Amino acid sequence: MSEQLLEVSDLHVRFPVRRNLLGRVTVENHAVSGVDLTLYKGETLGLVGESGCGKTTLGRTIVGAQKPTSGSILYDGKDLADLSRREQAASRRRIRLVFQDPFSSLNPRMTLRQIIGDPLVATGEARGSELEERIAEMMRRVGLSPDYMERYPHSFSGGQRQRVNIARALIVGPELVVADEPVSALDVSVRAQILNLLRELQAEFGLTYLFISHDLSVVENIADRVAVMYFGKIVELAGTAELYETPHHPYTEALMSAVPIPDPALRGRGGRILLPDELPDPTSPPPGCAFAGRCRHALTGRCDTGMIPLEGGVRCVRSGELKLQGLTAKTN
Amino acid sequence: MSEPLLEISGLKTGFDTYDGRVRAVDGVDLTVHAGKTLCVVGESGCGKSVTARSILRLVEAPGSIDAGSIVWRGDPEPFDVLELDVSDKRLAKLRGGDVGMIFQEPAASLLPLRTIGAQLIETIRIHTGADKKAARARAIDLLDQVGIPRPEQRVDAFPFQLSGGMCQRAMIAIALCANPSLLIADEPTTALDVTTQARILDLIRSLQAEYRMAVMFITHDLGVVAELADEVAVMYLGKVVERAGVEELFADPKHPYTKRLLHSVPVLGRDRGRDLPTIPGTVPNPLHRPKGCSFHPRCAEAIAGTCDLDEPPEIDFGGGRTAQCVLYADREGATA
Repeated sequence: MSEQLLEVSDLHVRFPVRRNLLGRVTVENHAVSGVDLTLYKGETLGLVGESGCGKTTLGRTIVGAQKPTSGSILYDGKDLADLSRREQAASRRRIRLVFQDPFSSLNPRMTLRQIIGDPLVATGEARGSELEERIAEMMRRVGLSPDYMERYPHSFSGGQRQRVNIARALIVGPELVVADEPVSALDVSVRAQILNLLRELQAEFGLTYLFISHDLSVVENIADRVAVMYFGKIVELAGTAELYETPHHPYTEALMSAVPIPDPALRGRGGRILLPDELPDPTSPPPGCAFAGRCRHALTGRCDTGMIPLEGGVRCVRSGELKLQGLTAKTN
Repeated sequence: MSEPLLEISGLKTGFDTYDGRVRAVDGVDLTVHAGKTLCVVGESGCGKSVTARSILRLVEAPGSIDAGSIVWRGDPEPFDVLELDVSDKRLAKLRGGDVGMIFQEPAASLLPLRTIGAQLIETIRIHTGADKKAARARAIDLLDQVGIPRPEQRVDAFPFQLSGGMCQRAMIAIALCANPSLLIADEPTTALDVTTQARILDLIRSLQAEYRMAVMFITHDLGVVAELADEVAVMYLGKVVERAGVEELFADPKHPYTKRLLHSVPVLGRDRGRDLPTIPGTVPNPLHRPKGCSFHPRCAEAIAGTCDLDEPPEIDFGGGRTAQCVLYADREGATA
């Protein structure tokens, strides 16, 4: 594989939930607890997991919108936490975020020109006719007519707004784009347009994507490698084909089995694994595997003690002895 | 085919806005058969939720039902829901009694300041006239049936103490409390995780088998449709553009919108790494409904001079299959 672009090591993010009389934090929410992740230049890494697993927090920490509690994020070999102010500003242009909700992430009182051009104005990089030209060019590139430049977000549909979001992220020429559920709020008939657009832009600008989503079908479509996150930890990481065909973590297996396939002929097939609803308490993570309480393969004495490492891309003590069902169980 | 339980015909529901009246539902005909599952599938703004709410007359100002009839055949004497007076006892019996309804945001549809038990008991007492003690016992029993662990404790929990999946189960319990013959589910799993969704769908299926309920399930997710439906109605901009049995719909979609929709959605195991076929453009604003067929500006098969001028005919293929599309107007076996 190509060059390493970003390296996250032992990243922890904890949010204070309750403090005592002295203001000391007594209860903490462990949103991200010990994530190691490497992103290679030009790839799309899919990050999947259910709500509350910490995938958004991880994305926000990588773009610098959230301070890590501990751990490091190396970008091009430099720790993002050690950068000077000037270097920080520069790194913000190299790593950009595309938000989930195209309705709340655009300022309704700003025109498209202001929204898309804002990063250039803020950095003082362009103004006047050059600014105008670059905004128009970016708009054309994401499939928006530059004639819309003076309009406000309210006159656009979800899909068009998401194009605005993408244009705003790309106008400063980033290398890494963290896309947090970029198609989840869109109508199904426009999702494909945005996914194809992201793929095109990646090829054209040589972008690297961290693509965060809860939707396994969307991630399978766009990602080269996939990381599955559960309860603040990466539980499995593999190439897309490998992960979907032969999952090695019981959580990945269960997640995959739960996705409804749009083919009534396959109804009731694929050995759906029903997980108990109850999740562990994020303020006091259980010892051992966080998934053990819901896992049908869990063994007392082995899965509920100690710290289970991510080995060979899987965080499961039993992965070697289990034969888990992949996609083929669903579609064959 | 089983007996029709609910027949909607020519339903039109609109909303007044500053820019004029929006016809959210624009002439919808639907039939729900007893004991069967009808999935209504469509994108935002297609009128699927408004159709569902119209059935129980839950459309609030500035919206109102303008035309059509909704005939309930679950009583020995069928009646048109739209002709009932709001104080009519039959309407009260329908709402939450013969027809249970669950919504998309379970946590938002439950009262935050009352325990789920209190909300359940109230509904049970209204519809069955049971006394407090019996109603509480029934509430615990219902929570147990919908798969809430430790129901005797959870009955006294407030909605915020339960997860999204648990709240949706509580909603289902409330909807079931008077043994309804129809359950209307408006995107009940959209806000939930896939693993939770799988369990809720499973629950709805098993309850349906047990109680022989009809289910009208509203969703935008074709995977869920394939999983659950007997019959499917595809809606686009306030109209039903295609109707079919679930196997037929997926095997042989007729309407260009249905065809394109089925192709453009990424499917597990089918679309890895490839460009997806797209439907150009976006769903139009219902205020500016295109003339002729609403789908024609996005349709690759549109015929200039026809689709952009004339309302498409409803083609009947027999056996409950229809499509609103001029492409089939002169095919054999089809009648307009």
